[in-house]
Amino acid sequence: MLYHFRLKNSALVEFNSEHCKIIITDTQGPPEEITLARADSRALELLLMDPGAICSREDILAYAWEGRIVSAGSLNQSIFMLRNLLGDSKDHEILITVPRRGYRFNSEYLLLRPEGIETPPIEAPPTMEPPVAQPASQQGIGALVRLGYLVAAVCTLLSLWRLYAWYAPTNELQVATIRQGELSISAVGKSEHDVKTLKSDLLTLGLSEQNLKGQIFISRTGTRINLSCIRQTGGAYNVEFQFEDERVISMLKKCVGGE
Amino acid sequence: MNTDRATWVHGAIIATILLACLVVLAITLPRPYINSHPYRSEANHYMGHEIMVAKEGLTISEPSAVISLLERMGDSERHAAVGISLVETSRWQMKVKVEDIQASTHEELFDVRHNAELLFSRQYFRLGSILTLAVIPTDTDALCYYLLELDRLRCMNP
Repeated sequence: MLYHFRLKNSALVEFNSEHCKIIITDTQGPPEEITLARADSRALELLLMDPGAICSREDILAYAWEGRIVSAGSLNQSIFMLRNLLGDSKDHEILITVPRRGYRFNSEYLLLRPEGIETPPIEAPPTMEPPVAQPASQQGIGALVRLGYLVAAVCTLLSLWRLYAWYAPTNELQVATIRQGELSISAVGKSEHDVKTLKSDLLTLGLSEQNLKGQIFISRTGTRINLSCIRQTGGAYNVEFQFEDERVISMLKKCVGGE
Repeated sequence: MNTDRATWVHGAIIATILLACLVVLAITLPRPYINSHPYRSEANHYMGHEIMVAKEGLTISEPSAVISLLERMGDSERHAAVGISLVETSRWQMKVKVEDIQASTHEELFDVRHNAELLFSRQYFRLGSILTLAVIPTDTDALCYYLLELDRLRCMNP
């Protein structure tokens, strides 16, 4: 793992925790590469893992000297060495001592990525950690999201088609309705002209005087009249007759009244 | 953290779209008829001084339907059963195809010479013919439709 931070004199530091090396790049002179003792490197790594957070002395001892029992003086020595290397031996601004609690790395000095100055790369053997673990899971999520959007797109198209098919206006049938009291009479036909003519004819019949009740649908094909009625009882009834033969009013009465 | 948030946002968008699809499905699910429910109707055909009384039944069981017809004129009777399949259904229209016709007799009960229009419209009722039932909105549960090809208006009781 590579960590980058800045020193108080603005020099850039690249810390390679795996190789226990730091490279200090100053504006003057060539980069300086220093190999750290393993325990020092581990102590610095722990502090840099969560910069700004306090690491207890016990945690640092356990991490830096894992599996070994060492005295507290070893840690003091390690911190002393690190401060010397980092030019922090006087005021302890980079590796801050938190009294009775431990140490913390001052996050103000940390750099998320090296700025400008190219540091010589440290030859690193292939690491055992699979760096693709996170991208793989992200790819899985991405594939799921893409699949979800695909399903949603298909669903949307089908829904739009269904809505269009469902509400597509049917221009093939024309209906013109006359409402008079409790009577609703609708002229029905395929042609708007025929329906209007039929409606006009119905208006001349004086339906208001007949005290008819219910819902009537009427169509005319040639000389044949077709009546369909929904009576007030809820029953449906149909009548067909020749226009010349029977009077429309009496048929309407038969249709809605069951005379 | 950002990846999780983005995933949630995508998930929410997809879920919203799918929910909208379900709403559309729910809206367009109702049919103009009650499925597998027999509709019945009576009709009187006045032909001069004679009356042909007809009783009709329609049962739609998706994706097919049956029209039953019983006609009586004087002492003569005729009954027929027509098997149809639903080709297309929308809110205000049903397209059906005549698949089968079973009739007690192929002769009409009425005098065809004086009721030519009725005869002609009935002759369209043949195997394979496509009929369009334009549904007319009513104030009740009755199913009213106009058979466009036959110029025939019908209201039926549920």
